[in-house]
Amino acid sequence: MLRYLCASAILLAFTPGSMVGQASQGDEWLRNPVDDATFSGFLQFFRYDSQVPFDAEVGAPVTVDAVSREHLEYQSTADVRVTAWMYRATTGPEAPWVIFLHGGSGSGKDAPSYRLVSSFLARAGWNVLALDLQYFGERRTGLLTEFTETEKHEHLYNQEAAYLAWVAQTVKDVGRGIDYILEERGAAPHRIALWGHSRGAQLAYIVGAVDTRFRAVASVNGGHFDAMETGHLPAACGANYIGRISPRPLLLVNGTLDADYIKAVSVDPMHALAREPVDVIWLETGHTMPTEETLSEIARWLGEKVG
Amino acid sequence: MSDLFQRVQTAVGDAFCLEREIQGGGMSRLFLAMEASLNRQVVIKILPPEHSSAVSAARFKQEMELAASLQHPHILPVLGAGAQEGLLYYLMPYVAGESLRGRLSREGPLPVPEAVRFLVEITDALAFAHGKGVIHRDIKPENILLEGKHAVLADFGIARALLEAQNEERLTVSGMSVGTPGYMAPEQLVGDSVDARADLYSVAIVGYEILSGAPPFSGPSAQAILAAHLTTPPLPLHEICSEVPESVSAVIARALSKEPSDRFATAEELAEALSRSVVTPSEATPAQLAPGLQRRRFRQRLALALALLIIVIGAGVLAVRRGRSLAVDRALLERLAPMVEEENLDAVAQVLTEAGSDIDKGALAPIRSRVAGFLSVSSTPSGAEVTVTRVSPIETFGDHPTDSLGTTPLGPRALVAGEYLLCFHLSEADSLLRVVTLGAGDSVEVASVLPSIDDTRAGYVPVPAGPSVVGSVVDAFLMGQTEVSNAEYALFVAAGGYRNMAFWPAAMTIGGQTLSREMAMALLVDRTGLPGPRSWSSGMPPEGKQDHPVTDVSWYEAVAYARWTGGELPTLSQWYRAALADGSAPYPWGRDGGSVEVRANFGFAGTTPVGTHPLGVSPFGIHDMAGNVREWIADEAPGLGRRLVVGGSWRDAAYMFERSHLEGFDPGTAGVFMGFRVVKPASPQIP
Repeated sequence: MLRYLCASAILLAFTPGSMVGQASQGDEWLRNPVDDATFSGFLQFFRYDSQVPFDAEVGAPVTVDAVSREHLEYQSTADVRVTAWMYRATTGPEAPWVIFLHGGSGSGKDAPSYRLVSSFLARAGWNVLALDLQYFGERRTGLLTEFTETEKHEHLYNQEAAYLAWVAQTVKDVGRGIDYILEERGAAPHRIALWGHSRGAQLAYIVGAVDTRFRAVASVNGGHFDAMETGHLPAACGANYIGRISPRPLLLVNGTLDADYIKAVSVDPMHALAREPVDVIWLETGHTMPTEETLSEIARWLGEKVG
Repeated sequence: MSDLFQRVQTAVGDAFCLEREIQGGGMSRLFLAMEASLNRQVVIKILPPEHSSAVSAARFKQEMELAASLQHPHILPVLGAGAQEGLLYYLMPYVAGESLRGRLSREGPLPVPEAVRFLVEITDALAFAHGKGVIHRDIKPENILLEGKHAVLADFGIARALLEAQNEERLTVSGMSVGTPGYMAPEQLVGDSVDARADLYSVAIVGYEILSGAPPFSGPSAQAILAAHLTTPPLPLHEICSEVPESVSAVIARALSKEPSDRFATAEELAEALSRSVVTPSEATPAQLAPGLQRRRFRQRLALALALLIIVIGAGVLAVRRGRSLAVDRALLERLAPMVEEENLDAVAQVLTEAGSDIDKGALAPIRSRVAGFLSVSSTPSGAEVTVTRVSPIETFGDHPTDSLGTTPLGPRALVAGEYLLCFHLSEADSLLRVVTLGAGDSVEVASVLPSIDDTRAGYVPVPAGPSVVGSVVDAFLMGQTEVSNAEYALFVAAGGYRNMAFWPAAMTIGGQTLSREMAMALLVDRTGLPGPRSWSSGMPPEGKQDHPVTDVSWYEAVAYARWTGGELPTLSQWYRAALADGSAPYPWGRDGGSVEVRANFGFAGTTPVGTHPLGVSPFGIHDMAGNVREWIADEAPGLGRRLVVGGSWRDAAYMFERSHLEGFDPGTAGVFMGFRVVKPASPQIP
């Protein structure tokens, strides 16, 4: 049974529900996720060579608002390098780690909101590895240039093969990131969490299910499909993964007025597929970044689960 | 694509695929095209339509046929010609090099041996053409192309065709000259009969210019230059340019004789004299100087000794100054060359700024077509002062200088290609901004309808009728240039806006419940219980945020304020019309998705004062359509009783600007990221 936490966001904000009449975006996996054998087959997509040298390049620490961060670049797979920020917890090096997956902003990890969330977490006692998703931020290529919703969907999100490749690369990039912080940064196993926002939340269902090193997973403003998605291959569909994060704890944070991940057709069905232990925070707002109050609440939840 | 471009493409047909217009001017316009059958580039030269009408197709064809018969290594061949679509055109090979004018502008005077070699080659070409009965009539550096180490003469026949039209009185002198006055022989200038010796005079002018860096005659007006051609002897070349041997100077002087009979009789003679002048760099023999010239020079020197002394001194000073200027220009061009090759236009712009120069300067003509676009600016009403600031590279925008362009209307002005911020100065306090992107070779015309200074309309920007990305065509309207600020809203509060029931509905839906006006308004209070936005205290906005957008107001309060001002909330169609015009670009400023956080407040650090993101203005000059605060609009979210908010806010990701992310909120919602702006009816004169 889902446990609902407190919900508060905006003064005088009330009625939940979707805004505009969106066609149902269900697919067969949302109604009937794949079986164990098929899921095991999916895992082949996400394997990577852990012997590839990191060939890491670490920048000099930069301190902003009392939070120190270092720029990191590491080899993920043979021909792919990942760019990231490592935010250092203000409480000391023994702090737990959280891997942060950004949403669909062209600036990737460097979008102001994501920088501020990362800094917030650092002040809350977390080391943060905030990486750029492939094609975003410092990893942008000619595939996406305008970063409009139309472009992202036409060139990536609604391209089944490309999307699966992108999802698989994300899982590998995160996996290699975990390898790096374990081997090179002394991160404590079992003290690593995952946080995804929006598109990153959608990816977090998959990453969190495939990479079992995460002690807890937080998904903020995610869902099955966003309002412009048309369909994915089953190996890239979060519906086939969200239930497999269990028995590790999962936190789902969503806005009742979100017009991108619409409650009735995109969010509620995904919540229904999540398995215990699951906590849910419903915010009476749209697809916006959580307030500081909500961020604190999420950080507290992570702290409880990861310690 | 320009109308002329399309007409030319139609005229030449499918056999040629037009690629672009290249630098032309004077009588003609040039287009680069690919000849499909031979996979080669050709140049299509067009007589401007206004000239074509004066030249009969038959005459043109006749002249082109004659020109096409000239097969010589130093004559650019005519590959074909035609008269279609009201255009007269001919084709010639594409020469990848530059014109002699380009070389001259780029490097200044040429070394004597090279200059003389070019002159000999051109004279040799003329000897061939004259032998066929063809006189060029328009020899000038622009018509001499440099292909490798050799000169090639272009444009045979054009001047003749135009001259025939002139003789038939179908051409007037207005806007039309047959030949180029600065290079025309005296007899050609006065309309006497012309023979091959006129071309030799023009060659000598060219020779004088490429050896000294300047033509022999200059003056404050075209008339003064023409008069000098007719009456003034040129300063001896070797006296103003010490590198030029007197032998070469003497040959040029003779070819510049006012009387045709004093010049060389034929092009062959001139070519021979030029060749000998560098082989034997000594004083020209008396035989090379016409007898009449010797006598005239003696009398002139005797009579004008004092005046000449003054002139020589003055000319010397000017020559030194000009020499210095040319040296500076040459150094600048050399410095810019690698940047031009790399198409690093930001670097080009920076170097020009540092040098206190600009791409409009004549000496930079050799690179202008590769790095510059042309901007024309108009406004309704006209007479607005316009300044321009280069945007790119956007990271250093704040350090870029701002230049005055003048007052509207402004004709084409060359600017290094890139993005620019234009500012129309309306008064000391008000301005209208536009962001414009110029591509190299582009001609962009910016036309702005300026806000009225009428009190009731101040702060509102005219948005002409046109399509919106949501809905159909929208009628013209006035849009608040900025989001409503705390200071503006404070006036409404102080004026008793919350007490005047005319602005408020009898019932309001708040939190899903329908409340009476009295009950609802009891909730629309600030922190101290006074009427006002939820984040205010004692009827006043937060300290230091007077110029920030008002937030924490419900949809009802936004509507009431709009009514108080005589306006209303924009509709969704109006809002996107104001933000994106016809929607040809996804963001108010264009297509640049990589600089969103610089152009708009999606900074997650609270609101910023209204209008502080100049690079994010919409195509009509409206601020903060993307970011800062989401804005209440009039439209209801379908079927749910909610009202739409648009534009994204400081607390959102940038994609929340897009219409795919419209969200509806309960009309009683008041958030720290939600504000509004107002629209008013357009005045009749707005298109």
